[in-house]
Amino acid sequence: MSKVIRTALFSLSAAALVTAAACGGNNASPSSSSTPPSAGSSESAGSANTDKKVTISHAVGGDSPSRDVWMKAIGEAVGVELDIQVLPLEQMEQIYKVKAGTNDLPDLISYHPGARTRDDLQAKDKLIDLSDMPIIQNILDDIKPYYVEQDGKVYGVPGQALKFGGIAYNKKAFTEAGVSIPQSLDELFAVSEQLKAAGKVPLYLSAKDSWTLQIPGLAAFSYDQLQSPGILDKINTNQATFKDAAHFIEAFDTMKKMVDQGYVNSDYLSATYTNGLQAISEGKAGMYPVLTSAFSTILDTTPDLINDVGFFPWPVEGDKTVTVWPPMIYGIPQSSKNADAVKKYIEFFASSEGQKIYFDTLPAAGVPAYKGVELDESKLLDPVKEMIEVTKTAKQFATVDFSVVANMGAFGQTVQEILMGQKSGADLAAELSDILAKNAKAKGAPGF
Amino acid sequence: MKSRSLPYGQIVLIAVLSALSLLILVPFYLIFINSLKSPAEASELGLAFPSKLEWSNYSKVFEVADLPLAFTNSVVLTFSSVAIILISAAMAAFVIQRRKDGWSSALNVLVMLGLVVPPAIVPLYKVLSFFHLNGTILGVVLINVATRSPLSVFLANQFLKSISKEIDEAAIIDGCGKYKLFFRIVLPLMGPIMVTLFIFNSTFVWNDFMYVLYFLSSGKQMTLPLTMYLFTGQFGSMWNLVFANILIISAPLLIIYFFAQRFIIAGMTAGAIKG
Amino acid sequence: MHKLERKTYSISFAIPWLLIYGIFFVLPTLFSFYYAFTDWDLTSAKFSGFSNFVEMFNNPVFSTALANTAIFTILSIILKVAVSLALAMALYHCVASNFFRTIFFSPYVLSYIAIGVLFTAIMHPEIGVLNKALRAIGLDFLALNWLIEKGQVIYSLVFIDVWKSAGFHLAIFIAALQTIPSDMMESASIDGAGPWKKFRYITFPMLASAFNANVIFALIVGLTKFDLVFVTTGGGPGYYSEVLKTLVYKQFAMGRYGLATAGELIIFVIVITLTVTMRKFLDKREVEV
Repeated sequence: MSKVIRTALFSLSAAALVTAAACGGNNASPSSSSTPPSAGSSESAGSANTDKKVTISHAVGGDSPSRDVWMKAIGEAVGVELDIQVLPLEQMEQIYKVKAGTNDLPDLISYHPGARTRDDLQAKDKLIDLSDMPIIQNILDDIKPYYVEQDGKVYGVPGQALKFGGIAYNKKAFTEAGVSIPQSLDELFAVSEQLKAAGKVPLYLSAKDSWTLQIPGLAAFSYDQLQSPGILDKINTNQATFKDAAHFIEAFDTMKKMVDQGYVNSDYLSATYTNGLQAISEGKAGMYPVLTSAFSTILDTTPDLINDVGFFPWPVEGDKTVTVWPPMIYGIPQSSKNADAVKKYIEFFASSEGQKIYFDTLPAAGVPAYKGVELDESKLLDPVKEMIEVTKTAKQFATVDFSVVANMGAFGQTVQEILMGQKSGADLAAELSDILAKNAKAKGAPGF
Repeated sequence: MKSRSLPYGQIVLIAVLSALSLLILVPFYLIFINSLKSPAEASELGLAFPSKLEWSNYSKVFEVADLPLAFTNSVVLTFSSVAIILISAAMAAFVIQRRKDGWSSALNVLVMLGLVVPPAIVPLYKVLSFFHLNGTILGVVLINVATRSPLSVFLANQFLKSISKEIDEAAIIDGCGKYKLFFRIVLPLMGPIMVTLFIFNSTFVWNDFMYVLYFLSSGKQMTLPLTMYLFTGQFGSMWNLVFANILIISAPLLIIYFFAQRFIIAGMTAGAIKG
Repeated sequence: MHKLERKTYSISFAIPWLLIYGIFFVLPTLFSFYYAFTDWDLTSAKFSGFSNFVEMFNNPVFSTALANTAIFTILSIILKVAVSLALAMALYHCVASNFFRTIFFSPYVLSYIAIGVLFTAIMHPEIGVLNKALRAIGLDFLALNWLIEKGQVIYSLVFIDVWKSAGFHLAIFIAALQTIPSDMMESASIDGAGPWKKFRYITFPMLASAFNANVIFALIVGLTKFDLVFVTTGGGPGYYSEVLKTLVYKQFAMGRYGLATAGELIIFVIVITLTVTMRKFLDKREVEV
């Protein structure tokens, strides 16, 4: 018997070395961009690329079959192959940051715009300047500052549609309860009372996926920006803190009040994002704070229910604002060997043809980020119509997440504490100010 | 057992162990039965038998994830890493356990370090790019060997204590060279622990997702456990698919385990006869 | 003899392992510890003395994480070793040991991602199988909010980890049990030793090194637990199940790489101190027994 083990071990190790070495060899071939940008490895690259389609590598957080469809279609139109690595949503940022720091980014990157690209990915040193691309002219003016730097450099262009943060609601549930969209926090409570009477969960919360708990505060912060102009710049230079953001704080205290009054699903601590999407699309819940990218997921999972849901911004008395999440960027790292092919890809994506493919495949994506892209009004889904309606009446501010001077981390866990009565919205604001100050100081931001 | 009826003690023992087994079997049953339900039934997370067996869930998983590719990658990665770990760890443990000098204690400290210290992702990147190994399976194999082998060296070392040094001495007197001594005589005696280490290490490497995520960058290099992430987004509410996928990921390891453990027993009897 | 020994047990045996291990683990790891004393953004590192350590200790969650790690470690060592030792002895004497061993080891092959999903389902307070079963047999008061309540969640995590890892420790005990020569047991039986005496004076001393290994592993694994907590609760709700590793990971996620490395170094010092102490204690005991 021992002979068997011995023979097995030997043949295993021999086979292992051979296969591992062979695979290593294959993967170092030019089709994969993962090898470091060293000068030496270019000889083999040139010859192989001439008769073969260029393969551009891409890494993206979270899975979506429809994304595979439209990306492939655009790839075919410009004659490139795409090699997509799917990253777990909750680890996408960390992996991107490390890959930027180690010059290992894929050919085509997709990351949060604005300060996040600038800081997290060290854009100046790591990404190619795209300012000579004509499509820059077409970026919507409102969101341009998140793509065009103050010195005119461009490290990424919109790679998605605009999405918004606010509340998804179920129209059938609203009709049943005889309520309409709340215009203030008082009305939010009144609507909740009636929804509850109609047997619905008024406000769904999914604390298990703690990032979803951040949305109300981030959505409410635009009212702080509206009512105390310049607050963001002051926060970024340490002249103000989140403690001065009254609406931001109030949003979290409001969530806690909703929990206390029994307006929130009883299992909110175990509920997940997908539970929330299910509840809101099926009409078991009346309202659910989301980013509007949720509608694409609902459309993928339960297409027949998509027109039952709608969208409104976080309700605060007076003039309305809505928080926009400027689309994630498409960018190219300096280490990429296929920069020209990627540029072609991006160019086509931003063209009206490319945008048509995108919005045809993803009809719930949201509002186009490029000027001159006409959506077919007759085909618009209800939640998208409402989104567009909102952008016409409410002033838009981009989420503070993408404009704050240093990363302030995820704070969903602290919101969990608020909901459980351990902390208040003011405590959260103090905590965030503290974290922001420390992180800004560590990176040497002026004023901290 | 010569007599047909079991002694009273055995019956009690088996009854107690069976009851305890339920703690393990019920969750496995939960995975299995829910993998065959419709999404709605599966979302209740219950143990009830489905109203209709949805075997098509499995083909749906195959549609969403490129399972043959992921499976091949996982097999190559796991077997290469484990084979190198086993051979190199057994050899290292042999020296560490048998020698009693400065080398031995220095190596021992290194092993303990490996058990305790977490691998550092970013400096590892630098080492990999120095050798032009990032983005390659070979690079991930070497990282797996480096970071998982200390446990194997440690356990092999413990096990070697039970193999008497007299065996070595007898062999040397018979004119056996050092390599022949190790590979022909000592290594075969390490059979049971080698099989145990084979199972442990296969589990670690197979289930790893950190190294694969950070050090590989192509969709073509996806491994089986990473397919889990294909069922957290859009399909996150489809518990039936999630459970089907869990079964698909774990099945190869379970099968390896069922087969490998026969060798543990084989090794045991062999050892007992020689002992 | 000494010279012969050195020749027979030549260092060349260790070289393949040393090379891979040294290059791909020891070097990068030790190298990284320098960054604990810097503000590091992966491209440049600014020396900052001990400020990362001060910041880590001053983190308001640090003491919670430390306490949770301590609870998790102590309880999981006791439970893992006790459960696996009891199972090993039971299997040793049981005629159907193969069958049961296969079952008890099987959770160990599940990945933590799978375990997280599985137990989130099982321990769901309202529709989870666990609470449904408890309610069905009239033990409603035991149907707790396993993974979402303070003072419960960390214990639930201990339970899950014991569920998964008992098989690992069991396998180590079984491998050791196989080295006990059967004639030793037989002669003891002939001498009239009862089962307890046989355990106390033959089996347990023969298991000493396996016992020690199991305690040490459970200690190290407990102190550095990350994956289970990360996938099952993420440290929440609130910070009720935050452990040292998840806390450090959050600094890493914010891009504070120097701070995170300092956190790793703190954990490393804790682990190495406790491991060395525990090993000394166990080795002494081994000699006594």
